This record gives sequence, structure tokens and C-alpha cells, in this order.
Amino acid sequence: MRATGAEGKQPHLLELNEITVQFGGLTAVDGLALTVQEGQIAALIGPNGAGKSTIFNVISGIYRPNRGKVRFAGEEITGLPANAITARGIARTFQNIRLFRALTVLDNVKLGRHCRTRAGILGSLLRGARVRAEEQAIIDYARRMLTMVGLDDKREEIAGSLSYGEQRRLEIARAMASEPRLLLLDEPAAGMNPQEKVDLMCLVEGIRRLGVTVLLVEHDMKFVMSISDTVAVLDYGRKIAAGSPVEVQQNPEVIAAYLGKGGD
Amino acid sequence: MEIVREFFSNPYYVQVMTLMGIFLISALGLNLITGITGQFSFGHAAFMSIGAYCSALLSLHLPLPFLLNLVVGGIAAALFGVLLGFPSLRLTGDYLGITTLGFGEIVRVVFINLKVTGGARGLAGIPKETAPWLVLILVLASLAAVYRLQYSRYGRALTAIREDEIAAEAMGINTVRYKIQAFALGTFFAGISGGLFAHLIQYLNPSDFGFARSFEILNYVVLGGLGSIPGTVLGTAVLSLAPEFLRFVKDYRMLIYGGLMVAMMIFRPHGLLGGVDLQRWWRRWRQPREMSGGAV
Repeated sequence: MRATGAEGKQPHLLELNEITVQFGGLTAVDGLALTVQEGQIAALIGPNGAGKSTIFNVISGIYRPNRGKVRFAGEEITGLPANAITARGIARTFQNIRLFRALTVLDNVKLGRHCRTRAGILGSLLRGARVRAEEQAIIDYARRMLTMVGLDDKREEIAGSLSYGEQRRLEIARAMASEPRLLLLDEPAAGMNPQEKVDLMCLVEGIRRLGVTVLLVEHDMKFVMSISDTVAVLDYGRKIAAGSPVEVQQNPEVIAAYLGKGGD
Repeated sequence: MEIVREFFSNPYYVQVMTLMGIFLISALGLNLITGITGQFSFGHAAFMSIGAYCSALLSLHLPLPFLLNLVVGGIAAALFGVLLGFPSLRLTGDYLGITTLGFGEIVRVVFINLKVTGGARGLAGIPKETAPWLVLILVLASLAAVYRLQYSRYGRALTAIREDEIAAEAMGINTVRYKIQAFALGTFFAGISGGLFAHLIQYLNPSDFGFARSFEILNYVVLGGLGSIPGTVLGTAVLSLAPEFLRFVKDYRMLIYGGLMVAMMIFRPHGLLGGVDLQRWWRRWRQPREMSGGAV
């Protein structure tokens, strides 16, 4: 039994508390609080430079916040190195796709299994039965992920040679290979055509059905509003609104942030 | 057959081939560091010299079996690899390159000034223990080892670090630890290679392992194709044998050697076998057959 909240509410899978990130004199994120419930698709939106990607980098351990705490599944993970955070069950994709471009599609996803497998130097030199079985299991799992995103027939191609939309899906397959509880998607629909966006929506829904919580940053409002359970809006590093897509869309502060304040 | 027999009965050819094998072991180690993990090292010869002096001094002063001395030399080189790795592998690219360059010079200067290594006069009288067959066996063992390392979960992680360090971290790879391990493994090969060299030439001088030697080994790896094991073999073979084959042009030898390198970089900028993945070719060739088998 997992401990539940005081009022019998579902516990938060991810909890950001008063997170502040400063780069020199610039405050990129200012005292941000954010929670994501298990099983949700949550979105983080806001104009360019609002601090969305910075938040992702804090959660995934690339940046260390100047102040504030990140709690994941009830444990504090603030300041842990990125590799330890992945091992705890947070996987991510990158805004400006970071694939291992010279490697094959399959090898990219096999690398996603890294934190769930063990063979080391000695194991690879001796190649015992256990190591060979593990390698086969890595391949099987990676191919399942590739099938899920529809790239299994391209597994022997070089990752850098895939189309833009395919590369985005490959990043998702690679992230999913680490069996995350929380998947962070940084602008997954960027550069996709309308059909690819529809496919992506189905894919993200499918990932949620697997029991994975999704937090995404996205500029495409149609995409965000039709897929998310909750939306948080950021502007200049502060959260200006949060709630269901409908609530957020009617919030005057959000409209002002996006369209500018109406003159009177 | 007659040609083969003649070849192996000519001590000059055997010596050239043995030296090539010794440098190949060192180059395979550097390929692990620079080719696969993508970490520049301009001080590989320094690690060779650590293995060489360490094993030679053991041979001269203690009645231990040669193979043990050789391994101890390799471990000593790896130890210094780790010692250098801890502070410097947080650096990347050019910065790491310059650090290793500096380390290489420090090692050379230390060996020139130590009494126990014979200083600038060098260390003479090392017993001749390195036999061509032993080098052949160790070359084959090294090839098997680096091949298995590269095509494994471990080697994949090293390649990931070369390709994109931030993404590698996001895969759960502890990049600092893996880089240090790669340095330890690569410098171990260098140490073994140095020990073999010492017990073949029977004389060591710090100037044998300077900056020029480090670059020579780096050339083998780069011209063969960074990250490619067959490329390292080919690069070492071509570049270590070319100066010998070019002896007939006498004074123009190094000129042609240099021209050869320039031409190779122009026509094959990724090295002779750079970007050629034999395993992948093999799988592609096999795949259609597997598929037709599965359809039945």
C-alpha cells in the first residue's frame, strides 16, 4: 500500500516546490510550484523564454535549481545527477532532438535499456550465458518499443538519416525503453505535419494507457488542449494559471500573456 | 609457400612485423579511448612508457616471470590513466587533449630525471623476452577483447558518450565513470604494448615515448577510421609499414609518407574504414534470408 494524502487524495507523482533557477542575473524560473498526478497527461505551456525547458532540465537533473525542491514518487530528487534520475523512473525527450545520430535506430533504443540492465566490462569480455540472455532481452524490448512507435522496419537504418517526425518518434521509443513512470516530452509535435500530429496524439494516449504519466511542453495549442488533463501556464518564469484546458483557455491572464493586454 | 618461408626466416621482416603488432595493441587501446568513447588523448605514448619502464625494472631487479611483469606494467599504466582521468575527464574536446599532452610531457621529463630509470642515458640490458609468437597471440587476444567490448552493452554506452554526452546521461549512463573506465582500459593496452616493446628492443630511452610517438599512434587510429577496429588494424599496418617500404626512395621517404597522409585525409576524411560497420553489412546481408524463412 502506498501512503495516500491527508484527505485521501491520490499522491502526487511529481511535486515541484518553490523552484527558482537563475542564470547570472536572469531569473529563468521564479518560485515555481507544480504537481503532476500519477496517470495524467499534464502540459506546460507559455510563450518562448517562459522557462518551460528550464523546468524540464531541472526535473531531469541537467540543471540544479538555486532554490526549491523536486520530489518524485515521494522522494526528494533535487540535485541528483541525470543518470540517477533516469534510473528512478523519469525519462525525457529533447526539444532539439538529441539522438545518437551515427548509430542505428535499434542501437538508439537499446541504449534506452541501459539503466535497466547490468552487463559490465567483465561481462562483455566473457559473454557468459547470462550476459547473452540479457542482450537478447534488450533487443526484444527495444524492438517492442520500435513497433509501438512504428519504426521497427527501419531498425537497421542510421538514426540521423530518418525524417524529422521519425526522429521525434524514435526519441520517444528510446525514452520508453527505460521503463519510466514519468515521461517528459519537450515539444514532441514541433516540425510535424498534421497527420503526424494525429499519430503522435494516439501514441501519447497509448503511452498513458500503459500506466506512464506524461508531462509535456508544447506550443501547438490544438494538440495541448485536446490531449491534456491539466495545463499549467508559465510566463516569465512564473506560473500564471493552472487547471483543466477549458479553465485555462478562459483565464484572462493567459489570454493577455499570449495576445498582449487589450488596450482601452 | 617458398615466399612465406623466406619471409619468416628474414629477421628484418620479422622484427618489423613484431613492432607493428606491438604498436597495434597500443593503437587498439587508443581507439577505445578516442575512437569509441570520443575522448582526445595526446599522451598515449606516455602510458606506453609507464608500462615499459615498470615491467623492465621488474625484469631487471626481481626474479618474476615475464608475463607477470608485463601485466603489472599494464596495470601501472592503467592506474595512471585513472589518476589522470579523475581530474581531467570532466573536461572535453580540446581541453582534454591539452591536458593529456601536458601529462605526456611530465611523464617523459620524470623518466629523464629519475635515477632508477637510467635518466637521459636510458635503461639498458633488459632481457629479451618478447617473441614474435607471443606478440601474435597478444594481438589476437587484444582484438577479441576490444571487439567484445565494443559490441556489448558496455561498448554501446561508450559510443553513446561519443555521440552525445547529455543524451547518454539521460539514458542513465554515468558518463564520468564510463570515461574513466575507458581510459583505464585503453591505457592498460598501452602499458602492455610498452612492456613488449621494452623486452624486444632491450633498451629504453624517454625520448622514444615523446609527443611525436603519441601522435604517430593517434595517426594510426585516425587514418584507419576512428572507432573502427578493422580500421585501426589497417591504419597501423599501412602507416607503420609505409616508412619501411619507402626506404628505397631514401631521402624522400618522410616526404612521401607525409604526402600519403595528406592524400588519405583528402580522399577519406573519416579514415580508411571510417563509417564502415562490417557487422551491419553482415546483418543486412543475412536479413532477407531470415525474413523469407519466417514467412513460411
